[in-house]
Amino acid sequence: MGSFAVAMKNLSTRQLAVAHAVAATIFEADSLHPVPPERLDFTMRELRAYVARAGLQTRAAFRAAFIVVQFAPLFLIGRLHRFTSLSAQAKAVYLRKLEAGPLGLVMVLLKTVLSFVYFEHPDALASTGYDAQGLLGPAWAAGSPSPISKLRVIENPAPAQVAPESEPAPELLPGRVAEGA
Amino acid sequence: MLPEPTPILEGRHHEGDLVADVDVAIVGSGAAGSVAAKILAEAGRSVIVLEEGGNVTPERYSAFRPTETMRHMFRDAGTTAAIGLGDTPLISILAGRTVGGSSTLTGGVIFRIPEAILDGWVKRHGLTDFSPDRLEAAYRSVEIETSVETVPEEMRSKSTVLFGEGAARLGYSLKSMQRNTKGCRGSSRCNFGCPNKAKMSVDVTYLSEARSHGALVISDCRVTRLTIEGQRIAGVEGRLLGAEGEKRGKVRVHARKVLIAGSALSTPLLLQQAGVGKWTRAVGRNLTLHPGFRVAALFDRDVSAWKGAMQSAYSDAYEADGLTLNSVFAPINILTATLPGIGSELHGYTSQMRNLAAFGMMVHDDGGGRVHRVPGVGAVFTYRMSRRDKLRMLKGIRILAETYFAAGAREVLLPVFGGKPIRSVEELRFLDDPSFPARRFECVTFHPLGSARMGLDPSTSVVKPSGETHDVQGLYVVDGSVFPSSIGVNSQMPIMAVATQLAWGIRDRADGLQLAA
Repeated sequence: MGSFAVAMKNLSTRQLAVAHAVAATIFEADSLHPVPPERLDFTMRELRAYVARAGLQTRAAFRAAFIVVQFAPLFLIGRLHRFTSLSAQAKAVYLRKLEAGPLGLVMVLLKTVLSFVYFEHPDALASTGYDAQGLLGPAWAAGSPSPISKLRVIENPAPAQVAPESEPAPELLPGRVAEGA
Repeated sequence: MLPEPTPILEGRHHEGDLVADVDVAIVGSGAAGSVAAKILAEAGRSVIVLEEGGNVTPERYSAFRPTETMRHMFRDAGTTAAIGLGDTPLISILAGRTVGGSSTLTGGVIFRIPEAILDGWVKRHGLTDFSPDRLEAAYRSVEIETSVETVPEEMRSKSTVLFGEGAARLGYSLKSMQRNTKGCRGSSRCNFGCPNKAKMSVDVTYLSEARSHGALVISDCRVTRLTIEGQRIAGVEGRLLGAEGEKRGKVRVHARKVLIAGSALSTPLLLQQAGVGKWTRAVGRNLTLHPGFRVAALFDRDVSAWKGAMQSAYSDAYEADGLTLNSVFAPINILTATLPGIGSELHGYTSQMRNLAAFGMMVHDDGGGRVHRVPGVGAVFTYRMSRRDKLRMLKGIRILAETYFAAGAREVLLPVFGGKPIRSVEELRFLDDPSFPARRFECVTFHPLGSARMGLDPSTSVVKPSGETHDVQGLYVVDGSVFPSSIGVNSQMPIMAVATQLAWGIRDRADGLQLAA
């Protein structure tokens, strides 16, 4: 894959900065309890990985959404500032107006994917009251290659089974397809 | 005792090109492709299965987080959508792209096609092999192969139990679902890969058996071209793909028969590329989706809806209205994405997930969808919802909300973008207004069907009742693309039963095929 194609799959530093500011605003419980930086770092890491696998049209929609969020404050709250330059309070006011207005789908897109990844952080998940094994157990068991396995887990799940190594490829033969029969 | 299955050849790890010569090449390893592979390999044919997605084993996916599953097993990481035309919602389409296809990502729900639908197929489309009686053997075969069992009532989540209580107060009832499971422990995340390896999806049933009978499965292999000589199929060509989708070696398969089973989303692209059905203009049209909607409700008591089977009960009380009500749930991080507000308002909801219940419904729709092949982009999907289906959608959402209120919900969250929580039945009146814009509804589907219809008339259908295309000898379509209408129920069993019927026919009409040495 060429460098251009790789670049088109990855979010840029500026786009991640917008995503970071959106996540910090929508997941803040109140002004006294900002989102811990470690959760935001995790969210950005996972967002980057997720968007790289999304379809071409969705990635294009993401790029458009970041542009709208960054440059629309003038039109929605009358501030000649980029979104990332607004105060925390102004960011919240702005995103509420964006969500309720005709460009609400922009917020739907960003909020949906940010929620997907943010609430996979064990502490964010714990804040919802989730207390079963379905998400916590296998996914965050010891041995997972995910960085999340290094974070605090709420329960002590059974160890996940380790995926087997790739099996050797069979040889293709004319008129037959494998040696297994 | 069956022999050890052949190893799956993973394209991402293979250096160089691949060439093969087989009796049957099958494009796609999902519910249809795996069934056909097993039946034909068992009958002694040399079979190769080419799968675009990766080989994610149950050992791996059982340990995935939901977004890992989406990244590694869903088409476009779960972001595929049909663009709504006219008064139509944007419809999120969830489909698998992995060995085993969408069958690894369903709730395991098993329904037979309603008899009235099959009667319509026989009368309107001449599909006499698909009458309820003629399909009986295929159904039974699938039920045995995939361990179909009834979900016991004690596995219902509190969310479903509450909905059932509301339904009883409104005068209708829930029935227990059937699923293809063995050892379900009720983790309520079936759509993201069973963490307990309890789902009997085709990767661990049909495809495994096909491999035991000598079939070779190649993962990470995108078929890009059908090779046609005169009026006869000669094989397929494609590319191996790397872990990030990058192109690797070339693949060329010579085959006496080619069976396309890439799903109603992908199959039309291959047919269009080859010019199959171009005079009928039927390829890629008539796509049906079963538009689905979920309504959530907050109760004053602990629901912990994640404890129990994700899908356990349904109601056909509104079948005459084109609605099927199904129990549903989703991992917490997926549900939180649909909650209203930001900051403190959103936190107010996310901190009450223990009190949240959810139930869903789907619309038995007209074929308003279309698959477009756009050079440089790939597939683009559009969908135009009929007025009849819009009214069904509004009615179904209202029924779900009323049922939860009858069960004692203090607040109902409708699938409306930017919508406010509803606190009484009176506040649902806006759903009686047919002019309320459909694009404001959040809609999702798991059941794309019907983009390469089966029928007798070559001017209105793409394949014959045998599954063979009208245009090209030896080229078959065996997946949900061939359905001539929407079916109104979950499509896993119907796809497998129809594929069974078609594959039995292909096996028994052995023209041009020789048994493998």
